[in-house]
Amino acid sequence: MRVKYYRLFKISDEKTNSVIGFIPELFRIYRFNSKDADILPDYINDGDSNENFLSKSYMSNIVKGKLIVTNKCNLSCAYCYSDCGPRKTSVMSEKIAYAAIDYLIQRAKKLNVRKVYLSFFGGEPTQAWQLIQNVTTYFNKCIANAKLQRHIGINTNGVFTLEQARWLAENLDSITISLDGFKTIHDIHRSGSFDQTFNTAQILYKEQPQKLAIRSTVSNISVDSLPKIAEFFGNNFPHCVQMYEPLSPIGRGQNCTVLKPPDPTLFFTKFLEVVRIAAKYDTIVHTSVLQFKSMTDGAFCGANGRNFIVVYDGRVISCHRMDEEIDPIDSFFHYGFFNEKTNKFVFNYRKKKGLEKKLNAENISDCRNCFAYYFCRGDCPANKSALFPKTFWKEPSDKCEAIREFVKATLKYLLNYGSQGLLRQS
Amino acid sequence: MKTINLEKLDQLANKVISLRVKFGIGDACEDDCDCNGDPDSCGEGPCPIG
Repeated sequence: MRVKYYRLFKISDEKTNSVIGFIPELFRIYRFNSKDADILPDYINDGDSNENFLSKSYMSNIVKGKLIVTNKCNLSCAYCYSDCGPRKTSVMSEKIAYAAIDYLIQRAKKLNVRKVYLSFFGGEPTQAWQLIQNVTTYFNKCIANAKLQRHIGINTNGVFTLEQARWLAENLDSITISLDGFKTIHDIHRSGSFDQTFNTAQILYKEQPQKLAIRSTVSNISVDSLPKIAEFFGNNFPHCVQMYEPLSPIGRGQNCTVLKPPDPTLFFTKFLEVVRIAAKYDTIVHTSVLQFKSMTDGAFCGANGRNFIVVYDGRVISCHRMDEEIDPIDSFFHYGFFNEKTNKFVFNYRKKKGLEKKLNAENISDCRNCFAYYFCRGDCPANKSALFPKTFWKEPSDKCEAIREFVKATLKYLLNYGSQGLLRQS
Repeated sequence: MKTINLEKLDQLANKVISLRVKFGIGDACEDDCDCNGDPDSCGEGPCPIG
């Protein structure tokens, strides 16, 4: 039997005069007395164990695609990364959407995959309502013909009619609604839309509670209230996943005078308070720099060329932040297009491969020996591109120190309270 | 390379937890998904930009 070696990180915890041990590949966390920690090596072997610790390789057998069906939006949120609003009018053609589905089905067959994921994004995707309905019908037909299974999701602002809410609850599998807190906060963040969004969330929850998830952008004005916001969500939508992300200073968020990104340390501190609240409501919370996933992958997300995101004009991109081709950074993530003549997508495989190679946190020298890397993977490349347009893929996060402290605090939390509030318990 | 085995490491520790980080523990997920219950991350990985 071949012996396998695992890296052991040792992190001092001055407050308790102890050392936290962390083996990322096994997701094993330890607490040692400081004196015992002196003899600990940097690598652990698995001895004669027959236990299969390692998870299978990342995303090995899933076929997924996202359609940015429109850049139109019925809101004009103060921080919108894409500067969306009612004045934008592009909508994807059925021809492009159907070709994207054909591609996904074809790929699923080729890879012998049984399930295909499709999600709708915008703008506000429900602004292309007829298209969403038609695409769902077409997708269902293709899935049935190919004897596959499906998952359809949508990210939405929830500002639409009761009939639309009911249709989504009935026909889609997951609905992520952007709700930034209670009325006083949400209305400042998101064009005074609280009443409609909250009402939609209530309808969706009543119809199909297991399909609903809540996504909240956190600003300088809402960060202090995060625990109250989590209680508010927990009270109204128990068991629903809650996602919290700090406001990104891009698009309208870059020049917004009212809203700013929250202080990262404060955000992470409040997030850990929220985890305990989530546990109380038998749910889990997420934030993107705290990823619990396979250790075999160095990418923060699928922006490394894994994503198949089709823009309304037929471009294929790997990061939905880059939906408008405005500057050279947008084109960095653009690796294919829809060919009107052949009705098929054409890919620049060299560029796709380049994305995979570049957008890997192992390229970031500060990340290589960092325990937090296994959770944050160098942070979001799109956010970093706004700060370091030419070198973002090899730059550490601007929130690096705060993330390290956050991960350390999370490891301590896990040792003290277990994974309730962070991971599903069964 | 100086090393010890997992069993010995466990004995040295005051406390050990092993997280059940696995694929597909979300409500809407399957066993081949790593989203850990986050429907938003189905497809692209967790995204801070929404």
